[in-house]
Order: sequence, then structure tokens, then C-alpha cells
Amino acid sequence: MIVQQLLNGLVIGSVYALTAMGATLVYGILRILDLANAGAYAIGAYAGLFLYLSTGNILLSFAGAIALTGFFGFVVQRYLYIPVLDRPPIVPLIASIGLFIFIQDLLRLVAGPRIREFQASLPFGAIKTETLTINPTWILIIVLTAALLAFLWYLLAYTKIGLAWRATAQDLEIAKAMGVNINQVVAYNFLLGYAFAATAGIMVGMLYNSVFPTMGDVPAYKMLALIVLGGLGNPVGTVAAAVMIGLIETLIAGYIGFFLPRDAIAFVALIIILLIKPEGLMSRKA
Amino acid sequence: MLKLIEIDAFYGKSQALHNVSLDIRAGEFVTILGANGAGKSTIMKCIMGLVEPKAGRIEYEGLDITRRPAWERAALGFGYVPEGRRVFPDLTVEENLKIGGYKLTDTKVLVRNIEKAYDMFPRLKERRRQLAKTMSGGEQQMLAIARALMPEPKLLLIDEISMGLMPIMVNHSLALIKKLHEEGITVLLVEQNANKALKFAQRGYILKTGRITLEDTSSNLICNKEVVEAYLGA
Ligand SMILES: Nc1ncnc2c1ncn2[C@@H]1O[C@H](COP(=O)(O)OP(=O)(O)OP(=O)(O)O)[C@@H](O)[C@H]1O
Ligand SMILES: [Mg+2]
Repeated sequence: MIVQQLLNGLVIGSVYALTAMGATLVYGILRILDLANAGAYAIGAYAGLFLYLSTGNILLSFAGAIALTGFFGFVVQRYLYIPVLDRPPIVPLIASIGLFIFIQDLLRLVAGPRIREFQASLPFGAIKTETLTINPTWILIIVLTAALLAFLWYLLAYTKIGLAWRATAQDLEIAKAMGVNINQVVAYNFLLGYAFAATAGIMVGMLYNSVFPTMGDVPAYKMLALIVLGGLGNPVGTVAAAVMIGLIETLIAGYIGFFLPRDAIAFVALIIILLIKPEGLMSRKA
Repeated sequence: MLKLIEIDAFYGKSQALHNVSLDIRAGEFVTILGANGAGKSTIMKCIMGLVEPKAGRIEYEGLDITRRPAWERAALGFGYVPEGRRVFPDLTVEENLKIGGYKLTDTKVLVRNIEKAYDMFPRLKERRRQLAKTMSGGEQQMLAIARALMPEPKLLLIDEISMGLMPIMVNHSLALIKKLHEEGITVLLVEQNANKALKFAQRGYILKTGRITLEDTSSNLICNKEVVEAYLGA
């Protein structure tokens, strides 16, 4: 039972990590809170669902949805954020809130307001032992998240573009002077971040068997909590915070019960942790 | 080699540079002197593309680079040592050097230039895996210079080498820059310490609240009564 709950928490935490990663990376270099990243989560879920309904191939629908949403991320940074970068930070923030609302209403117009089911059959079965059942969607979420985060880790730690990203996050102006094409770094950042959010959206759609226009709402708020908890723009901190919140939520909801809705737990945890450690779990500052 | 022609630059509504013109010829060692807030760093940032002039032109080797993005200028042969060193705090010494050589496409050249930097500053080699923020101020200054030299610049732009350094370290750094100059690099040096700057530079500009008020050879500036009173201390 406890193992089952821990696994459940890990699954939830994985999804949170993927959802918050794009916005964490963006905050890391531009100091902008990209709320619209949670819109990419809903776009990804819808794209994945429609591709699955029309092709019946889950692999194809993942690939297609990720590519489409990644491209959307590229367009967003190029035509929304880059033009307002030299304005005060409130301008891009409001732009991102506007875009987020636009995405939700666009999805409502195109796909209708009702909740759609997302029942996909995966090419592998559940893992069953005497005490434990891991259903295929859980396996998918844990494996895919681990793979994507490992890929991101490799990119940041060992490649030239990763080094450029880290330098830009530490001192954007000097990185530019050293020859780092900031526009390119930002473009890759959005491409990757929106692709991650799309992946999370599809997986959550499958996990809860539901896709709906405002499905990005709660993730948007939680994403903000996770970015703050993770130390503002620190990818490793965000993963740690996401897994921790996933586990805390699941364990409290499963064992202790809580007088507030489950989704409130993340924010209670945020308040408590910020009271103890105001700089977040892992601060970037020395 | 580098020409600034009637540059006006602003931060928001406040004007930092008024009609500034500079002309630096290949092989020169030029300094800009001026009080705090005169606009020296702003000139450097205009040259590097970090501040965009409202009016005027910047020409480099006959090319108009006024509107070129900063990251394309590194490849033109600029080496920049910014005010306050600005090494990347959470990168290692070696990673800082790699970013300095970001525009080098040939890995062999990159590796060779890192080795050259280590030959020049053995201290950096000892600390190659150390995070830049854990180094002393003097070591960080060495790193900032080494980083600027990574792309084999033709023009070295140095913004206040003396800040926060012991006098002996300042002399040491200036001697190093003189050596680089003798090897053929053109140098533009901004310096608080006018005495020392004029000793090393061949020519100087005096900047007063965003305007160039005087331009002459170092030997003439050292004798100029106004300059002596304002910058060299009586
Ligand atoms: N980022 C900025 N935003 C607004 N104003 C600025 C900014 N940077 C510089 N200034 C202003 O522009 C003017 C010139 O600044 P600059 O840094 O170029 O002077 P400086 O000659 O380098 O001074 P110092 O010797 O103190 O380094 C000053 O009045 C300064 O307050
Ligand atoms: Mg200055």
C-alpha cells in the first residue's frame, strides 16, 4: 500500500516537473514568468488526443503533438516575448496572461467546452506483483519523464548550447558580449519547454482520462509555486520541488486527509517552506 | 580601425552620451579618462552593442556596425573586459574560458587558446575546475582578461582594470596589457587611475558628463593644467 502511494506520488511529481520545466528555463534566462506555458500543456493534450483519434497510433500522436506544441513555443517567443524584452517585466507577464486566456478560449472554440475522454491503449501492459499494480500509463509517465529530464540534463551539462544557456542565466549581457546569440538560446528554450509541457499534458489527459480547455489552470498556479520553491529558475530545484510536492500531496490525501482540496496542499507547502527557507529549496545565489 | 561618429546614447529619458566621436587606429593604445558617471562604461557598451545609440554611427574596419547585435561583434575581433569583471559566477574557470571562445568554430583552436591562457596565468590552470565565484578578486580579474583574449581579439576593450585591486596587481595587469599591445593588439582602456593610464597609453580622451572635452597625446595631457587639476591630483 505504501509503495503504491509512493509510486502514485512519483507519477504526479513527474508530471509537475515536466510542466514546470519550460517555465523554469524561461525564468532562468529572461526573468519572465511564462504563464502561457500551462496553455501549451492543454494544447499538447488536445493535439495528442485528436492525433490519437484520427490515427490510432499513440507514438505518432505523442510525436505530432510534441512537434506542434514545440513549434508553437517557437512562434510565441519570436513574436510575443522577444519584441517586448526591453520593457519592464510587467509587460511580458501581462502578455503571457493574455496569451494563456487566448489559448483556453481558442481551444473552447475549436474543440468545444465539454470534457473529452482520452482512452489510449499502450503497446505494453501493467506490471503486477502480489502487492503492487503499476498500470501502463504510470509506467509511461515515469519512464518518459526520466528520459526527457535525462536528455535535458545532458544538454545543460555537456553541450555547447547548454553552456551558453547557463552563462546566459547568470549574466545575459556579458553572455551576449561573448558571442552567445541570445535569440537562439531563447528559441531553443521555448521549443524544448513547450514540448515538455505538451508531453505532460498528453500524459495527464491519459492518466485522468479527460481533456478540457481549462485543464491548464491548476498546473499554471502550481507551476508558479514550484518555480519559487525550486529556487527561481533552477532546473534541478524545480525537479526536487515537483517530486516533493507530488509525494506530499499523495501521502497527505491518501493517509491523513486534509480539510482543503487536494490542490491546495502545494500552496500550504509553499507557504511553510518559504517561511523556513525564503530563498527556496535550492537557491542559485551563492 | 574603430570610429565612433557623433554618438548620442540614452538610458530611458536621461542622456548619457552627447555627440561623442572617437577614432582609434590599428595598433594604438588609447585611454578614456573621466569622473564617475561621465559615461565611460556607456561608450564601451555602445562599442560592444550592449547599449544602442539613438544617433550616430559606429564603424569598424570600414564596416558600419551600429545596428549589429552584440553577439556578432565578438566574431569581428573584439575582446571585452567589462567593469567589475563580471565573470560567470556559477561556471568553472574553464567554462568561463570556453564561453570567451564561444565563437571559435574549430575545437582545436579553442583547446589551444585555453592552453595559452593557462600558460599566461598558471593560477587559472590550478583552479580550472573551481567555480569562478569562489576565486579572489585578483584571480577573477585574471579570468576576465583571459576570457577576453580567448577569441584572439584585434581590439581589446578594458573597462577599469584597477577596480578593487591592490596597487601591485594593477601594475601587474597594466604591464600585461602593455605586453599584449606590443604583440600587436589595439587597446582601448577606461581607467579611474589617470596617472597610470596615461603612463601606458599613447593618447587619451577626456570625457565630461557625456561629452568629449579634450583629446591629445598622453605626454601633452600629463602637462595640461586642467587635466592635472581634475584627474591627476595636484
Ligand atoms: N543601466 C543604467 N540605467 C540608467 N542609467 C544608467 C545606467 N548605466 C549608467 N547610467 C547612467 O549613465 C551615466 C553614465 O554612466 P557610466 O556607467 O557610463 O559612467 P562611467 O563613466 O563608467 O562611471 P564610473 O567611473 O563610475 O564607472 C551615469 O549618469 C549613470 O547614472
Ligand atoms: Mg564605468
